[in-house]
Amino acid sequence: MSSADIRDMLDLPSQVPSAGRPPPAKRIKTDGKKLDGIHRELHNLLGENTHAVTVMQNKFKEKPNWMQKPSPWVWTKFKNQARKDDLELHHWVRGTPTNDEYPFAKFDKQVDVPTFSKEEYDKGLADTAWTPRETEYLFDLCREYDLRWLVIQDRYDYEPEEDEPRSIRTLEDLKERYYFCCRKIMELRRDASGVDWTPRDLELYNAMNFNKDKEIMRKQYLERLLSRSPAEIAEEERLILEYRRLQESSKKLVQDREELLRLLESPQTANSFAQYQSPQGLSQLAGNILASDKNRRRKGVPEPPAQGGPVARAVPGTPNSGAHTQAVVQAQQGQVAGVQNGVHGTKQTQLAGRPSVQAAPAVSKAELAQSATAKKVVKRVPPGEENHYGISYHDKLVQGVYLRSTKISTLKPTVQTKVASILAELGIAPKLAMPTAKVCERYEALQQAINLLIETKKQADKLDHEVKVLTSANPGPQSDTK
Amino acid sequence: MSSGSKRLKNLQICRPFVYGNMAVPLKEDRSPDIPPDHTHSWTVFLKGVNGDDLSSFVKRVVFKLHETYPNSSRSIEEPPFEVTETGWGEFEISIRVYFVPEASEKNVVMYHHLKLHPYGPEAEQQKSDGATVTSMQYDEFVFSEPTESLFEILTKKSGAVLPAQKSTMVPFSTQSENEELDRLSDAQSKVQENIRRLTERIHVLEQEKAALQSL
Repeated sequence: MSSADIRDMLDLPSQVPSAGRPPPAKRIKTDGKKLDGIHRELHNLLGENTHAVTVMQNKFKEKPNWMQKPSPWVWTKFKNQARKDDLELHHWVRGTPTNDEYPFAKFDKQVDVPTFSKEEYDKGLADTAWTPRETEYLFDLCREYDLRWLVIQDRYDYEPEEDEPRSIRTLEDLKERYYFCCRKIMELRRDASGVDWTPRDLELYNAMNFNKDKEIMRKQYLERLLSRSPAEIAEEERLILEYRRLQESSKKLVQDREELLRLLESPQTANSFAQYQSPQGLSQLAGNILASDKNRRRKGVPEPPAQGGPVARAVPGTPNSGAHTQAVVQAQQGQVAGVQNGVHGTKQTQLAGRPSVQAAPAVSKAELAQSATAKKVVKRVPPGEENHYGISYHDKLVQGVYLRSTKISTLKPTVQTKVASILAELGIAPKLAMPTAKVCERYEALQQAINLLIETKKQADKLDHEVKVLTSANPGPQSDTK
Repeated sequence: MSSGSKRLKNLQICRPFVYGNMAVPLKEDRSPDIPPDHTHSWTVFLKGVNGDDLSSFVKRVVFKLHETYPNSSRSIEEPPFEVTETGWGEFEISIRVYFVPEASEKNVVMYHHLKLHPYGPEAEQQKSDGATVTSMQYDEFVFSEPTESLFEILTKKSGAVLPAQKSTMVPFSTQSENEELDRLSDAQSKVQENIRRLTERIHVLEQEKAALQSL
């Protein structure tokens, strides 16, 4: 948040920029044009910006032009190109008539209903229920009415000849017959010409795949859907909701079951836990966990997820694992060269001496990691030069970088003031002149010593006071003292 | 090895450095761009001891000056890590040090009070001389569990060695370190002496108290 923002928020006048800060240079457009009257006012109000969108509202009609002479209307003849006959009609046209195409002629679109020859019919289109004459009649009707099935079905009025049975043709029947014939024609023509279909032809073929039964059922479904009563609709909605709810609860049930199973399956204890059921056993267990945790932290090994519980690191195993660790230590020591030896050796013997030790594989892994680091470091830094680089080894380190001056420990404020005054007496400045490692160490030690001094002084004063009280109370009754 | 990002456990490596400022009063022959109320020209810096190059592990240093300076946050990406300016007032400058990406470390910040006017016992003398005023602080970067690449960078050249003798150019040396150590040891022994005396006194007092109580 800059000061400019805060001033803006609080409506304070802007700060006069002091000598150091150049004023924020905002580019001001200076137009050359002079603005008069309303435009000038608008410009002043709006500033640099004009509105982004202007709304034009034509609330009024255009003003009628009284001066113009009216154009005449002419009663003209015209022909409709869509018609096959030469019917001539008349209509009014404004101005001079142009004999352009009749504007509505372009709407006369025709559907390509295929025509089939007798040979083609005999080849593949024959059907028991349909005579060729009826099929032709159907096709004519389709052509006539542009494949509008409802109209075709309504107009369908086939007069069968003497020997043909009269049958009622439903819409589905008609459609079926028509599409079957179309497909058959496509097939025949393809086979005859040897030219395979284009993808568009294939699409068309697939689209004309009319399944009468399915269509009938579909229409029945739709009918039923449409004719539901409101009560039925409500019932259906309710059922759907309930179904969804049941699904979710079953899913949740499955999840819970999984979790429970997982919980039950996890850590299998190798040994019995009977020994830990008494109060002493519990405290022993707690101690084991703490110690092994500390061990693990020291070695910098991450926690194993479920290591068969703390029981795996059972106390009875100590003598064996202790011996094992010793052997590992010796083996490792043989490998490591240089200064690291002494440091690591002592550390590892210390750790081996602890009552509960981690599982052997984890131990050796940690030691390997340590010695690996040690080996790498040794390679690059000859032992004597550690001081040149400021390298030191510590047991427990928090990762990160810091300034040494920031890590001088602080005590409680009351104590701190006393310590500071004593330091001043001794002639030590409160801020270290050269916070190197050695200096910091000694400074810390000094602080501790001063702390101790203060404590002893307190104690001495207390005793002094008590003695005084005792001497003044003497030879009075002893019950007053204490 | 490409695994330069692994951290070396139980290892701590440190690098000493110096930060602070120098200031010199402006003479009459100064350039006219400087505003008339500025009295001193000063430089705030961060550098290594012995003139060491810190840029091997320091990526950039950001000096945050007083807000009244234009671009008050000065970012210096290459050595020498310093900012030179003119002014009239003393204020606190925050120095934020960013380390090279191989280190995978976050930045550290330190504060330095800019000193323009002479201070200390020779203040009057220095004022009349028009001498350069310096205020420097020694400190050390301590890297705990550094990454391998950082370790390599820091061990390429020996950087933690301090010059043996004090000199005007390099006010921090082993000599000054030893002086401080000696001071601290002296103080420590005095404190120990006092503690010893007090414990003796406590013994005596306890005996007295026991004697009085048993009466």
